[in-house]
Amino acid sequence: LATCALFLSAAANTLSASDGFEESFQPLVEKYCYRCHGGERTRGGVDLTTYETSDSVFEDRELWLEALWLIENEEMPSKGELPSLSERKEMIDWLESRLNEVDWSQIREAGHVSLPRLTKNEYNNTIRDLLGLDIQSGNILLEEGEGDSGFTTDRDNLFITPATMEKYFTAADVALEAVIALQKPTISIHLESEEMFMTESDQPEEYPDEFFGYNLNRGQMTLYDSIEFPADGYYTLRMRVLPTVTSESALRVRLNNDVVGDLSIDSTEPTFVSLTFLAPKGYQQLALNYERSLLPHAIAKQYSRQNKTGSIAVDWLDIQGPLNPAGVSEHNIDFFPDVKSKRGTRKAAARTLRRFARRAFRRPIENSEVNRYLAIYKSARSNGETYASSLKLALTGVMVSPHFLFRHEFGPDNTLAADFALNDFQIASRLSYFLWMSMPDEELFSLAKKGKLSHPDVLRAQVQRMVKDPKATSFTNAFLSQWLDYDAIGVSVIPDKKVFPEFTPALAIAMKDETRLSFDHIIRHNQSLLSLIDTDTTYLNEQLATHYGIDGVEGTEMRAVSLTDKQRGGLIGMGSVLTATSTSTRTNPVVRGIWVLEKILGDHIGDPPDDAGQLDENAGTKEGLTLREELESHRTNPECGICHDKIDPIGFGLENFDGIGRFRTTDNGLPIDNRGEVDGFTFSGAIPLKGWLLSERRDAFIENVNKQMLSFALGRKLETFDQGPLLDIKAKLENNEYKVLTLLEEVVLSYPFLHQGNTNNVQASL
Amino acid sequence: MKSAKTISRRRMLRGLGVSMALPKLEIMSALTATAALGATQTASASSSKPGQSSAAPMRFISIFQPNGIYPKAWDVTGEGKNYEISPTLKPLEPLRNDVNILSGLDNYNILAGVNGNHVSLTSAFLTGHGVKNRRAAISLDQKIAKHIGGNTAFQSIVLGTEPPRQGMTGGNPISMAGTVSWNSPTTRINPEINPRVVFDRLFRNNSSPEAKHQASLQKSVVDIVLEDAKGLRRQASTLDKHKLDEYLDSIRAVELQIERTINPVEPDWIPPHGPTDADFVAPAPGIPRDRALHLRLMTDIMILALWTDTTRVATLMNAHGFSRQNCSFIDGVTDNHHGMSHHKELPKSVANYTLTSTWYVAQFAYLLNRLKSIDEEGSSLLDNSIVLFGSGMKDGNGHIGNNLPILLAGNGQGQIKTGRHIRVDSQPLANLHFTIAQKFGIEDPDFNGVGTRTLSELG
Repeated sequence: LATCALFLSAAANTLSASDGFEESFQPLVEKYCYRCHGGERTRGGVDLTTYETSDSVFEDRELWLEALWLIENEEMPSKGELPSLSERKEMIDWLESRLNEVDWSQIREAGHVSLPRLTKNEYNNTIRDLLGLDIQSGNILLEEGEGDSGFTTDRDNLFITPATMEKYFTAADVALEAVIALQKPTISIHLESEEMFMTESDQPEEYPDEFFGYNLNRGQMTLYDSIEFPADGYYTLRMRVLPTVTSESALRVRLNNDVVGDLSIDSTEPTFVSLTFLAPKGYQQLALNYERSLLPHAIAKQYSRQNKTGSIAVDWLDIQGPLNPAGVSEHNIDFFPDVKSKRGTRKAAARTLRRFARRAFRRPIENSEVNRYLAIYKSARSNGETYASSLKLALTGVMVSPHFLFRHEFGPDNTLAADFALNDFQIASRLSYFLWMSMPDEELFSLAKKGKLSHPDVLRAQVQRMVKDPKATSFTNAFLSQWLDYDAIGVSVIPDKKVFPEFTPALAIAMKDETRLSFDHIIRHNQSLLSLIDTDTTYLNEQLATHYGIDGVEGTEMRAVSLTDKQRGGLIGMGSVLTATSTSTRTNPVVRGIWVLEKILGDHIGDPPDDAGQLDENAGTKEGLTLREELESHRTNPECGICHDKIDPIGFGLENFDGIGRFRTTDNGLPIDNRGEVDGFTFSGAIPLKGWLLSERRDAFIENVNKQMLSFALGRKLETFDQGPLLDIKAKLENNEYKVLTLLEEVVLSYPFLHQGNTNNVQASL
Repeated sequence: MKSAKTISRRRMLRGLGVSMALPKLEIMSALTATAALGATQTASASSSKPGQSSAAPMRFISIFQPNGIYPKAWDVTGEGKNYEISPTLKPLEPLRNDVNILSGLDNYNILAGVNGNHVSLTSAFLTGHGVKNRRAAISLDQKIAKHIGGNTAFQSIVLGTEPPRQGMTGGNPISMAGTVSWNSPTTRINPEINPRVVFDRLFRNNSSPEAKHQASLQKSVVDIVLEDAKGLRRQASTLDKHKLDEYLDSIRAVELQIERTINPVEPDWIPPHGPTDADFVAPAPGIPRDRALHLRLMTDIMILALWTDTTRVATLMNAHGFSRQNCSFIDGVTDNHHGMSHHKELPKSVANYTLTSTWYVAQFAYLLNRLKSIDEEGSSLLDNSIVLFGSGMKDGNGHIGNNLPILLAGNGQGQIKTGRHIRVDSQPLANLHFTIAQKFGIEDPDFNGVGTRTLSELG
């Protein structure tokens, strides 16, 4: 520990004993800052009394850089006696030299990433790749919250309790049972529509072509039955249906009230439709509904109680399964091998276990390790268990082992207290859990085995290969939704039904997909990161396009759309972000302003004083003051103004988007006032705001994206000593037109990504 | 539609007779190796030895209410037995003899890291500590669970209704306000929010020959992975050892469950009047979208678990400690819970806030009524419990941490005189934790270093 600490201090080229901290800096902080940020009063959650040494200031470099900016710009102190010019200069000079006169190239510190336990998401993906079957048996695990890094990949924030352990046993068992079920005969269930349950008392009807069954013609009508599924797995539902009024119609399929699929039908005669879905073992309720929102707009609009457009009759349905939609896996585990002798079966078990454990532990394994797990198999066999059941038990052992659930990155024996380079297998896992949120594939394993993976060119090539793989969707989805905090929309952030009846679960999904697909697009075309701020392509389906007022997009499928409307394009014109930054009944310019400052520009806006209050839900909708006027009166209070002067104007600039992201020019009959002013720049609306972000705040945006990406990739909060790698990454981006692949490659090639440290991060940054 | 599991369970209950041997039946399956929902396994057994006592055991229930309450609508006038109940507490009027209203307890301790933000006010609700460098302290429910939970199938259960939230507040991730239960200063127990998942885990048949057979097979797995974990722990740096300790504690808890399935422990007490068929209906899979139904289901499951002596310690978070739940499902309410709690004394917000708090108190009254209706041979389940209801803050507007809204129901087998408004001198909430722990026979010199005084006013 001591070595690192000394190293950093030396690099900072200061000796804490005589750098003027005690003599000049601290007394000034005490005189001008403690009044709001000292001990009893901690405005914005900042308590400066805790910084008692020069090193403690450097350790919290982020916070003090912000303080430096505020002091330089005379934003603080915000009230009371002000420092003299020379005092202000003294503070600025001291902070400048302590925080910025650092030779970062001299600082090499990997930091410590806590022993990584697989997240729920990683667990499901790993099981998918390990077994070749996307069974999602980890869904019984609880959702993980975000850690200090702002991401659920934050390894410090992942725990194991007895309940978790128990669920790992269940999840392993369910997954392996599903694989076994695939190797048994499939089941086939046939149900005639008239034999099923119907919520309404209507009689089944007869149609030509020997078609007899219920006709679904309004939302409340539900055709359902209880079906026993022999194992967790994928099943195919096939139905004979007939649109009875208009040729275009649609059906929604639910399993236990969860939508498992939507079917669009366009036919004038009886026809067949099918759908594959994941069902858990046991009795489940399958339900079919007429769903008007799935119909083409024109048909849905025509609907009346008399004409019942879009009606659909069901003759019968067949269910078959389980099956593997991905086809037979190359990693298929043979639970029913064609061997008879005891010795032959034992050999088969050993072979299967060896291959399985090597992949599950993501590293080469010793014979002795295989033998220990083989002992589970042997003991089960000697207790009279079948081959399949004994093998399953041994595989369960592998899947609940700490070698599987944790992705340990221990160094060679003698490196317990120092940084060490990760070995190739550890790099393979870091890489695959970063870009796929899953285990490495055979190519990564094979490169690791050959010792090639630590080679920079190989790593770059792998990054380029991996981001093109559909598995990278997990990464883009998790990274974006957690960085930008929109994951909760439609789940726990649900706009009020009375105010926004247009907001549906399907719309929420489309909004989130738009953001993720736009980022995927940027990656696929290796575009500039600046496209996140402004671009002319986005991804829409009919519902979302209609929501945005864009014509010519039909159907439920999301596809690339060229934008002519400059209001859209870029994150701040997306429904996901605009909804996530609104209250359930109206826009919230304050939250939107903070969102832009924090999420896009990486500022840290402190919490408001606890007694600051929030605007009423009805703010701006009652007589007298508009929302804007209410907020403006709030800012006349200097204590509020200090933050809100930079927050609110940005939010006002986005007022053309309502609480669920629709464009508007009036609110409650009054024209929208979309004017704002930040740092002397006056603007009206989102378009010039995007221009300002790109021209004036580009560095801040790029620096922030880099930090977010590095932090996500490492699974830990960034520390002061990470500044060096961040500067390197930024320089590379500046020379490469901010291309997204440059960012991903440089993160992977960075020192902390390829090394692990065993020093406590807080101490290391001294 | 009932699942096959429920149907067969019902048959089983009918076949065996309802009041006969529920606790034995309800020990969980070893195949899936159920273990305490929340606690590490300790050797300490229940205070009453197997077969020795036929008296009902003590239970501890804590209910966490997020976002505080509106003081003017909560505070009661008068002290002792003749206090006048307040609008928010009105739903408790019929139960007033079973409840104490406590005033004067504070949740503010800068030394223990409890300041005015949602994360620390939530974590301190049962621990007395805020979160610093991701550490707090063991929570009261887990402390009690480790002391008395040893002989039940689950040492404790921790339930909730909301997943962790995104974002940061006051330098801490908001997700940390997702739980009030801490297994150790570094390990949080996130509440289970899926009613069906928790029902299936709590109430699985574990006494069948098949279950025993599976348990014996499972044992060989546990032996191997336990060894793996010990080996890894030896290689790990000191910074990572605690992560492997979590694993070791958890796998040992699973091991204990397996051993108990193979060699069942004689229950030290059998509830005399177990649940009927009608009480035992598995909830539909998935998380209900209806907020009121969701909380009701979690409450009912908690009651069943206590009733059948599946656990003796239960914690229920009405919602996440920083809940932004849209409460417009309550008549007359049009705002989210956190939003309305910063009411600035605006009439509309105050009305929303009061209606919402009153609704939550009504849900608490439902719980107490159910507990009271369960007869345990002369006393009720409520009489054999200490039920703590409260929030980590008083008024959401200002995150006021003083004079918390705290209710204490159940007389803890005669240890607490109920039916009063007790106003104590201003003192830490942790003193109440300290006192409750004592009522469960815990003889620590203090509670997590912050609760040091016994509240003699309760006795």
